[in-house]
Amino acid sequence: MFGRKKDKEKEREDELRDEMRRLEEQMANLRRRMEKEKDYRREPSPKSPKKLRRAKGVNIDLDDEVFQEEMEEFGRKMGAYGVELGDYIKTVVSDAMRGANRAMRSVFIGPKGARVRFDDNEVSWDPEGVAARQVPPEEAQRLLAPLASEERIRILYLLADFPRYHQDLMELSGLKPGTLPHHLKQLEDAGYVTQERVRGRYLITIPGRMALKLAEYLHNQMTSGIGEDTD
Amino acid sequence: MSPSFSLNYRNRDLVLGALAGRVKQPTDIAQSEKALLSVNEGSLYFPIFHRNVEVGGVFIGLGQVIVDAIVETKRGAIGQSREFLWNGSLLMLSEDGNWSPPETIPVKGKHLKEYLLESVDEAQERAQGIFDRFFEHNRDWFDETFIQRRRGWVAQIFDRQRGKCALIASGDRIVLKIADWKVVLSGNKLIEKDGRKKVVVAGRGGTVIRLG
Repeated sequence: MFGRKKDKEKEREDELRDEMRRLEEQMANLRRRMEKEKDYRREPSPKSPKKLRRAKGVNIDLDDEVFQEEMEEFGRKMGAYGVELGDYIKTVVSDAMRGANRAMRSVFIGPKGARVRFDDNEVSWDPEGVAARQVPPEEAQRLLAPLASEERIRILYLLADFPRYHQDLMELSGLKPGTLPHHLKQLEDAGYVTQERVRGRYLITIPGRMALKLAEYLHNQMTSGIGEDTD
Repeated sequence: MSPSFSLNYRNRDLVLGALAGRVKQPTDIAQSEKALLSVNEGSLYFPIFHRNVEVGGVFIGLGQVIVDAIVETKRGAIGQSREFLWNGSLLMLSEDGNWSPPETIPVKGKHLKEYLLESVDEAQERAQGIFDRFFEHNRDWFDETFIQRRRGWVAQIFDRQRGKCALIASGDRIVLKIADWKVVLSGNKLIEKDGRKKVVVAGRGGTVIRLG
């Protein structure tokens, strides 16, 4: 009787021991996995070109050996992106160097483009393309003519605050019902203003805001004395 | 918003009514902040009922769609406003209680001939075909997308030139497909695909990503 009871207790003990062993194994597996994940997290991830572009900017000496090594390493880590960045830099340099027969010292790549420093001068490059710098005169006229009007600049300022209905614009600008549509059409044709057809509101577009900034920039430059004969 | 609107094709809660007549004058049948849908005078109108309440209709004729796919961002507005004339048929469903049926006048044989129809029965048959096809093709999408949100309106146009066009609008939200022009607009976010050109605008900050 007692012997049978003892056998049962022993069986139970063995079962518990097996259970404990299984649990310990599971715990060890878990610990190993956690360590692995920690290591994975510790590994620094390569900066994406986007992050680089967002960064404040870096001064790069293209002839610097360390930089070249870093670029190669970066390219290896990033695969296709690395190649893309390399091409990006090449484009920056070749565009900026176009027509320049001088020794280049360094290139500055920032969030809004790049700047190449020469011994005696500095050339800027913007990602939209160098060709954009040389505006065909007729295109310049199309873009600037709508700004050559006090009324239209006033309309742009009114729209820069809020989108507005025709009636509001008429009241705030003081323009007559026959004159306002003419100015609005000029601004719409230039792409500085757009109109919602359902609600009828007028809105300033992204080029519209840029045009206002251009006018402000010119004004600030002129009033600060740049371009005046100082002799 | 009351959740009373529960369209369900499989339960046949929606029924196409008999030809109500011709639209008496150009009518704006649906409008949201960003879209306007109208039918021209003379278009044939067949009401759609949901548990005996008129919630939309099928139109055979002509009309207009105006869409403002424009969003305001910190850097300025972006997008475009477009206007289309449609010629063919339109199926329109609105939220329960928000549908104002257009004013109609009686239809005569000569009016049916304008739309290459011989009789009222033939007109009814064509409208029923439009109604059935709409629910047959859009069954899952319709149940999930439209019914759950219970807001705004949905329209499907069969234009002779552009083929099938779809428009869902609710407040400042739009999902639109007219030929190659596809727009998803929600608040200050716009995804627009115009043929090969693609524009994505995100947030009031004015992030603009152009692809293609």
